[in-house]
Amino acid sequence: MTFSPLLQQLMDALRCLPGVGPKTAQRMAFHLLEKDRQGAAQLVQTLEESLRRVGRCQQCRTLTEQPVCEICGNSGRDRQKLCIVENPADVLAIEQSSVYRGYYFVLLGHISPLDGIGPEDLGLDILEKRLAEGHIKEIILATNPTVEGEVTAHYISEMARSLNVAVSRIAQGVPFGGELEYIDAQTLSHAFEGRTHYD
Amino acid sequence: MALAQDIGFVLHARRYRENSRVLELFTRAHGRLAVVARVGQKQAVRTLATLQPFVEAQFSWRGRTTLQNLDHADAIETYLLAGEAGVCGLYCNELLLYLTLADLPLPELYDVYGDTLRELAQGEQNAAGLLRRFEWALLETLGYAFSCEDDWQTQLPLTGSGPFYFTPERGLSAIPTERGSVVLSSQGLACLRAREFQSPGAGSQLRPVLRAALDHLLGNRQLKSRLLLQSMQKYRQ
Repeated sequence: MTFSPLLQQLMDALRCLPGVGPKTAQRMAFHLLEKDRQGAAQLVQTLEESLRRVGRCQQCRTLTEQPVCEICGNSGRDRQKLCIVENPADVLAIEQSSVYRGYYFVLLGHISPLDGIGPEDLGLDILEKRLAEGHIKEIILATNPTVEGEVTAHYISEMARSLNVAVSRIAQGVPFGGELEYIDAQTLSHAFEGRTHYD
Repeated sequence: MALAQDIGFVLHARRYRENSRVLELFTRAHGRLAVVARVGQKQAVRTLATLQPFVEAQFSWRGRTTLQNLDHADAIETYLLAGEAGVCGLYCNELLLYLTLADLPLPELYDVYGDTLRELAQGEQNAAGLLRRFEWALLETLGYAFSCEDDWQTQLPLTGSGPFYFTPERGLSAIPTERGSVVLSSQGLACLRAREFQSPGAGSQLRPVLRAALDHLLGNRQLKSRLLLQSMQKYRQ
């Protein structure tokens, strides 16, 4: 059975979402058109408005419709600390943990020479200018524990040291509630390499 | 579809749909090949740790097309390349990816690559020497190594105190060529002849010659990892 051209177009468009295959796209399209037309209209309106208005924060590069995002606009946070993350979702994860009260810088990716992504593609010139202003005393590198994430962290640490800014890296190792038996060798190696003095 | 298996390294991984990765593998007996790895939610973390570059693993795969399906991957040894060593490792990966042919077994080069990663992970201070050794092994394996003994212009043995002039596709000569050629000192030539890449100064002396030889093979392609290493230098100065 073939669907009408517009219906097929809608299903194809829905497949741009992560985790949505042909069957899920079909279910979503039927749901929107059959059962929730009001929801569909609201989705269209919100999506259109988001595309028009949401851009990047001038200070941390996270997604926001304001020139400066809510976190960067909050003067009550620790101005001396800056946490470097790869994606806006990482900011949310750290914020939910409530362990950090400084500011962020979102790279929107990582350095990956084999994909042709260099420092200039990640707004590191903006970061360098920000560090050169002298307000930030410590940066916390929270890039992902992948080869590319480590390379990115190393590059930023070299930049920060040249500007006399202290650098720290989030710890890597055994997750809370985990069992050593089920931890992979790489994670265990990192856990042993990064062991700390036990008081 | 028969199951093939071999030890190897992941040179590069890129996302393919939500739960898959396309991996460029460099294996010992099968050379370089591309496979699709499905990474399910449950075993994602453990699997992804094995499918990182610089992890030697036992891979098994099956398929008939150029893009085959990864069946299994078991980590054998992990090389933790911290800081600049990681960029050096990616430089080796970039060279392998661009200069080796798919499905061409290169076991000797595989061994040199493994040794390079091991020594980088052990914190070898002379990373430049390790990279020159790898570059020379790559040129030799691919059949593009130049003669360290004979002058390509006079066909006579290379003697004297130098300097010597290198021309890609030709080799070394004591006579400067009209086109801008790269200069190699007699000390550098002695290191190359003796394969003493780790001796003091060898890494920097051999860099221009080996770079010229590799750049000729790479054509217009610029190595991003090399640019990255260069841009990191500016912060040290």
